[in-house]
Amino acid sequence: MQFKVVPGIPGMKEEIERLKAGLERGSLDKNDQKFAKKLFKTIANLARDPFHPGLHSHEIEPLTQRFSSENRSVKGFQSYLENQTPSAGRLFWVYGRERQMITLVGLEPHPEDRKNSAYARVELSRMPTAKELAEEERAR
Amino acid sequence: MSLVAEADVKKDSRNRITLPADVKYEHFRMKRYDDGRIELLPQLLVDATISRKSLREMDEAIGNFNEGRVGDALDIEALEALADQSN
Repeated sequence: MQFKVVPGIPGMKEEIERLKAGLERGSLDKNDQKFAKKLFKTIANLARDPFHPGLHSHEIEPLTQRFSSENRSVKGFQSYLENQTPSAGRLFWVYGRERQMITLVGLEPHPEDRKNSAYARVELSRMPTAKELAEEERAR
Repeated sequence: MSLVAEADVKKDSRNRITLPADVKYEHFRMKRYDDGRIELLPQLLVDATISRKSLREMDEAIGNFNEGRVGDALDIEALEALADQSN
């Protein structure tokens, strides 16, 4: 059963519309054209199977923590735009708001960053929680 | 937090100190203080990095998502057709 894929707003919606219109008109530069095709292929694979092997989809726990609130858990996932090549681009998404629905929330590299290689980045590493430490201890 | 081990260690000729064999983590953040102390904080390496702009955009999208505001469903077939077109 296919998933319904919706863009988060405003960023993803605007970017997908820009790339779609650009491909239709043939007005994108070579890099954007290549990127748009990879992105649209990834979205199609995501709709068919969010864990399609080529997507290498996996949860990003710091994003889950960032997106979740006290009364609501929202898991953040990432998929690769190119098999085995995270640097080629990554798509971030969450399940919902409806059943069988995926909401696209972010893209890496960010459209503005694609024009500038020296952009500000944030490391997604963190201290393990006490619970994780205990779980690792039990697994040993 | 309780102390589980304490030992005197000596760096070797290449400035290396061996960690105890049962240390669980592969990545650490090293902090060095001006009084000579060196601290190793275990890190889970989650993924490479993410741009500040992407992260800010995601926060905004999640805020809208939580309030029920998302875009319309994408036409997957149309996107795939565009992706497959040559040139």
